[in-house]
Amino acid sequence: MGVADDRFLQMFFEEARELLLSLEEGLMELERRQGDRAHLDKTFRAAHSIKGAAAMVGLGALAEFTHGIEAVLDRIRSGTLAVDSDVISTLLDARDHLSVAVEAEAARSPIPSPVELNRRLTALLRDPAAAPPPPPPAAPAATPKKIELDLPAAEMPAAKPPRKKAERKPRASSRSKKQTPELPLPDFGGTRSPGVDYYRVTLKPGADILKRGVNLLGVLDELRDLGPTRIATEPGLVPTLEEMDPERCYLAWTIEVESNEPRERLDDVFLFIADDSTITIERHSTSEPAVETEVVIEPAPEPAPAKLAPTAAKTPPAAAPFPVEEKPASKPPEIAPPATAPADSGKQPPPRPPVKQAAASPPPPPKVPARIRVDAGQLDDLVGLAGELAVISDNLQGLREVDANQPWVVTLEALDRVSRLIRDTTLELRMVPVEELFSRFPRVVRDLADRFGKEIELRVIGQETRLDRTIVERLSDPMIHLIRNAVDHALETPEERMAAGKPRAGRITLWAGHEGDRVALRIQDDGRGLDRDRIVKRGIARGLVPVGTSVDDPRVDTLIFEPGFSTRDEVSELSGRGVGLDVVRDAVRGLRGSLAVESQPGKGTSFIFRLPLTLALIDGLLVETGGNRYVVPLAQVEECVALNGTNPALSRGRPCVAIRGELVPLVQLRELFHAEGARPSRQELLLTRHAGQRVGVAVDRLLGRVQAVIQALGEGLGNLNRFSGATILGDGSVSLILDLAALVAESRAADNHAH
Amino acid sequence: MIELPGETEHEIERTQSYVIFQLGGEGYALEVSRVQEVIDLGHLTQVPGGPRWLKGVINLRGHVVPVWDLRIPFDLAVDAKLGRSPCVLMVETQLANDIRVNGLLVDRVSDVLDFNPDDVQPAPPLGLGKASPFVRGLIRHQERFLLVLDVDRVFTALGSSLTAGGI
Repeated sequence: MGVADDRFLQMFFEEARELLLSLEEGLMELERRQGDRAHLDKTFRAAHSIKGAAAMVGLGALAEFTHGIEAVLDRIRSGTLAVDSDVISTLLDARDHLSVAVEAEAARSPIPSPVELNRRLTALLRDPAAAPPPPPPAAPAATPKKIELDLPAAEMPAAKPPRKKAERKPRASSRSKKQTPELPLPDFGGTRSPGVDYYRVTLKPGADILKRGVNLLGVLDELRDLGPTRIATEPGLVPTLEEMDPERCYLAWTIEVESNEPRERLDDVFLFIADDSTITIERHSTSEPAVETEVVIEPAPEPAPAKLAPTAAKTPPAAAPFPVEEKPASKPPEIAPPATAPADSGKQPPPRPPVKQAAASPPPPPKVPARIRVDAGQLDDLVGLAGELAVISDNLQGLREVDANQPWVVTLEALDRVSRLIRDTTLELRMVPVEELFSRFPRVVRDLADRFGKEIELRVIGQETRLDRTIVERLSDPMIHLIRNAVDHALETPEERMAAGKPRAGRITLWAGHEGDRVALRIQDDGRGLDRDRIVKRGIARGLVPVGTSVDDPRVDTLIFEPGFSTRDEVSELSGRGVGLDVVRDAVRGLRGSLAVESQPGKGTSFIFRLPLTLALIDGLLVETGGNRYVVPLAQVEECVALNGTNPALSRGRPCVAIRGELVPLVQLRELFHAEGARPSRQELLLTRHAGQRVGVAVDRLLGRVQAVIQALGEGLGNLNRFSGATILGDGSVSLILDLAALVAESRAADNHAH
Repeated sequence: MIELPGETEHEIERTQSYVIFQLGGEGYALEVSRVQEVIDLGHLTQVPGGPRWLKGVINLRGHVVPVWDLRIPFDLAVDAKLGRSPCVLMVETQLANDIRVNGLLVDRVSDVLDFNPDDVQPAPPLGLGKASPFVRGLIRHQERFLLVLDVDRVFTALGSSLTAGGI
């Protein structure tokens, strides 16, 4: 295949990004619990997939580089390379480079292969301590540069097929011409090497596999790398020239590979074609000739549906270097279609029955949630429209009161129900598990721990909790900031911890879960806790709290969120540099969330984010001030009380009102907005909480509750913090959404300026 | 609403259609391709604390769109008589890499005219007051000059002064 077209490239980039993530996760896992076979396999497969996919779309340099990673992983798999943190670091660096290189390719400006990294990878492949368990002919030891999927392959494919066909023709053509993958099992016997196990593989590629650009000869070549290989096909399956569709794959192969490699190696070879091909793999041990040792399914007269069950449990292959494990199925196991020859049904049944066999009514496959990729912008539009539909339906409901006996009332009710369902479903589409956010932190923690010479154990709980996609995206930086703080400031060095009677390794726990209608995320460390003495001193020095404030005052902890507040005198490379917790808090507020801190001296600190489930839709209060209507998020309002025309008291120069004996600072929205006209004698006071303190915001009138679909204000208005967005009301007019927290902060700042 | 004619088939490379509008007593021209539509100014929601030249936001078929008054940054007379039925030009602008729609409040949309590129003369560097940086050229038409507006530059310049707390 020549230059892959754009669509394939785009698919590759998307896929590569995902695979790179799982590669990174896998490497992190690998370091944590070495020797876990399943994880190692998964990691290896990620590298292998990237390599294969890159080669398929013609990005040879990427494939070659990835091959280095894969080869190192393979050595780890085969036990010839012990995992230590240097190895992992090299692999992580290589992965990072790969990630950069993929993005560079995506931007059409490829970057050169890094010499230093290549050297490090090659060094890992050149371990002198050779001669470990199974040294197959193509042991990866000496092949850092070789690409197994032979991409340009212009000559080879041309040269090889005829030879193979010629070889096998006489025998194969005498066999049936059925379209089933049941191939004649040519007797390859007699040529086998004694003492070496062999695999018998049948491969029936899907008819459309060539259209996908798969190079089947590359697959066969990869099998050859595993050991001496004999390959047979059935040329009789190919129709006559007039009937032949050149883009169709008619052939099927029977292959025998002599190899002591574990079965997973073979599975990996077929990784890219497993989806649309029928593949069976059987292991035969030469010590018990002609007896299948791994999966034995006696040819049964009628296809038994319970064929799936038998696994490696039967007889582990004697010569297997590893205990053979069931391949952690990348696809759900599926009952082999009855049409498959019973003798062939290995433990990896065809993932999808070929089209030809559809008529054989395969049992329904296990349910897997199907996923499609959707353009994020379109999804946002859909959510917006669904919300509007619900609002319009609300308005129509209002018409019922005019005359409840109208014939369209029933239709209206149906519209209401459907529009709500649509709205809820589309909102649900925006939700993603916080895992997408949490998954990048193990790496962050590892790198930070390395740099600060600390030992850290990261625990993650509740990562399946779902949150709005936008929130998840925008939480990444704030959370990384807090994690850095925890590693840099909060957690002690191993020596300090030992001295304090704590375990050597500090622990950071990321927790996600529901709290009422909000989602809470918690970043907890078991470090030294907030230094309250120091915070109070700093706070007093900066005039943020009155002189003589007690260390136990609940306001003390919230001081750390004040702009520019830091108790550290020296600025470390990672935390500090002027970016304070106030930035984190503002980011969370921008998501209509809150940030709290809990701390116990010597025991640790927790930061708690509380966030709305979704950003697209809010419950709000419609209020009026100075003749304009505004929406206030209900979540920001603790209580509404009537405010009678008495002049507010002044406390330290700021207007205040007494609410049930408590003196609450007052913000007049009219004044802040320079509204014209006289203040009405009776107003409403919205009580909200700012920096742990109750604050009242006075508005002229309360008009009722609304559901608001939030739209962003234009680019030029984004820095107008007092509005978190705009919404379209039922009558078609636009109403701005107030951010009470920002308003109060703004009013405070204005007051401070005036004093 | 005024129907805007598309470009005619012939001479398509040569001529360019312009929307002609009045703003503070001056005639302005703007490429038709940049104007999505012209609407009558309906209900406008004010944005307290917004920039002075932001008249407010409107609902354009379900989208919240800001409406700007160029007479303020251009230092033009706000003529009450002419503005008895102001129109809003819905303009596509490119800020950074983002195409967005903004409304421009104008006194009156008078015409849509075709001109050859030769008709557009370079704008004098001086003499157009505060509008100078945003005028790309002049077109002589019926004894008067039409000022060809560079909307991208308007929003880039005013957008940046806006973030810097200006205007």
